[in-house]
Amino acid sequence: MNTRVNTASWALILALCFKVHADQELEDRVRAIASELRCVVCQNLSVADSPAEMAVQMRGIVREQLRAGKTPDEVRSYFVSKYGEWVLLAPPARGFNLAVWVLPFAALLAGLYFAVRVLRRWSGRAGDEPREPPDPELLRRVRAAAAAGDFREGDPEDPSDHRRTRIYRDLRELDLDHREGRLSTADYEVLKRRYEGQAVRILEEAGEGAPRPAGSGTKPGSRAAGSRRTWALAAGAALLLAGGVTLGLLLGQSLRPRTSTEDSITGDFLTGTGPGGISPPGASGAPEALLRRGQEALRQKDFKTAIEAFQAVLRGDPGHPEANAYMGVVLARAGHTEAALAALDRALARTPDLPLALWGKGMLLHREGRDLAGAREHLRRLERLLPPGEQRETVRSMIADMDPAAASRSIAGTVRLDPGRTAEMGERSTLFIVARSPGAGPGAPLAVKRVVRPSFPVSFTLGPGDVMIPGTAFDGPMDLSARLDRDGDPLTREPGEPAGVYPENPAAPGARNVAIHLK
Amino acid sequence: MNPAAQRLILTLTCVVLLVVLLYSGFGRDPRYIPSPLLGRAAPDFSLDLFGGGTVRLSELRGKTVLVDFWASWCLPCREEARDLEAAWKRQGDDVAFLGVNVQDEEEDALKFIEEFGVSFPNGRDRGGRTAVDYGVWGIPEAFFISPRGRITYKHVGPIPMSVLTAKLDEARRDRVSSEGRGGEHQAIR
Repeated sequence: MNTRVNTASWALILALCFKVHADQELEDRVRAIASELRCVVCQNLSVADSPAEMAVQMRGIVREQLRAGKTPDEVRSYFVSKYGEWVLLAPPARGFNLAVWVLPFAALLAGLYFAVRVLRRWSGRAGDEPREPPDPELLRRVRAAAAAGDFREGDPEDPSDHRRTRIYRDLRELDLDHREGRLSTADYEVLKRRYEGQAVRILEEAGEGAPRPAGSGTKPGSRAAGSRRTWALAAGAALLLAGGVTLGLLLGQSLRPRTSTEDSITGDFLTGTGPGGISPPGASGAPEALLRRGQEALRQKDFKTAIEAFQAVLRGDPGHPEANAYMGVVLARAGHTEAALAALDRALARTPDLPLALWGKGMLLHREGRDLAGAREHLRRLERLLPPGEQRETVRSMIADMDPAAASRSIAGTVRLDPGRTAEMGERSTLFIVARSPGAGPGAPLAVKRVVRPSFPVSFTLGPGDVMIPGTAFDGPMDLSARLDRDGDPLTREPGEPAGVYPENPAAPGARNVAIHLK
Repeated sequence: MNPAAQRLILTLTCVVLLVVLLYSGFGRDPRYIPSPLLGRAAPDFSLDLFGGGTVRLSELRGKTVLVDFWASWCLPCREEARDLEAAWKRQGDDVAFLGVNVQDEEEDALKFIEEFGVSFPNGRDRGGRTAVDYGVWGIPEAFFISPRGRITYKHVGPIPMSVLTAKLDEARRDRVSSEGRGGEHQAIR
């Protein structure tokens, strides 16, 4: 009996091992195929590397088809039949695609060929080759002297004689090398001509040989050829410059930094796509560009430029939804509540589902405490528009905070920073306002409010929407504290960071005017 | 022809070819995926409807069908929702609309349907199989299918009413036209 049980256990273990092995092998095959497929909703990411939901589903389909016994080629063909060859990260080498594979190598070969030609031409000129046939009489003398090994002709103290002697010796060694096969005939001819030319010139400089009439050394038409060469060089340089400038302009106009994960680096000038996505047709004109400028200025907190840009859009179209929404947000920041509400209403009148306007109006109504139900309604509409994710959770938590029952339980107060420590504020400084149940010890606090780059004094409310573990009741006495974190990461604590506790701890839910002083 | 002229022609040819290549490359929207499905038989699928029951595309053979892929979080889908519903109400029995909800949560999809009063059949595409079968990459995407079961047109982005009417008419006559895109950008996730 025992033996049977043991055998059964072993069989189960072995089966599981095989299954794990088979699963791993299947996952490897899925990954191999997925890494060749383009994620259709991403930029330059494969299906294997993308975290997008669509890519996860595509990996699921690959897995399913492999399990059903399809070959990798069949799986690839399936995706190609649905999306075209675009879906393959490496296009197959046929048809027009062949250019992608062949052109780089062709360009490399052409470049090499060109470089070799240029180098050979330069090395030919480097030896200062004679440009006209040398005087036959002097050439004959040079050849005779070299053949005779006459290395001591003339005055050894005279540098020109010394050079000539050296050339004779070189010529003789050249002959020897050529005869013994250490030098090719082509190279031998080139070098021999060069050395002989140099030797003849030395003789000419020494006044030997028949004087040449002026201009007799210049071939007819060589002056014209020289002039043509100069022109060709100048034209080539001008063309190169023009090409470089054109390419620079084109690239400058069509490439830009990504402004979001959904953005591409090409756009504007050539493809007509603006930052953030594909522009609606007919909207790529001035308002679109002005709006972008305004958004960029807003991001850099240059409110003056942003307002000017949005106003310019609104002059052309007073009801422009995006421009009105941005104006509303800027005006709300500046404290012009009425004007901000009017602008946001104009935006929502034309586009009732504009996320920025819904957010702006919801937050403004909440901040002013005028119409909490209206604030919640706007944020609820916004929540429905957002895909699941962090943003939606934030909006959800804000809606929970605005619940009248929650509002009565939430704690409100102010956090101040010691004036002597304001210099410690940095780009990443983040304020954490924490509520812990007394005696709960370390671990996750009950609720936390996070304020990035706070501007002190900070007014806060801490309520059921801020609980760390969803579903936990925001109830009972709680100890309140606050801390200004330099790097914004709550897990890394540096000594000496400004921190403070509520002097009247523990606080009860619904407490008001809670004052925490960071020292 | 003298060698200088030959060289000039060769250089100019290379430059022109390079410019054409660069222009065609940079002039393309890298995110646009032309569909190979136009003119081909529409892939069959079965959809579990939100209201209960199942519908299979092949059961609708003989009718002109519009298959619309959407999600509740997709802004352009909200834009076109009311128009689609209005268009659906104007159609006779020879036209069927099918909404395929993708990459979404069921609760959100139901809220969307309620909010816009969508009355044509809608169902969820679990696992994204139907979306991939139709080469969907950004939503909304609408496919027009002729009574013979061929895809005659594909529209990316919210579909204007005039296009919807014209393309339904073409689909009814089994006329294939090139795919198009319009209105605001489509949404991707």
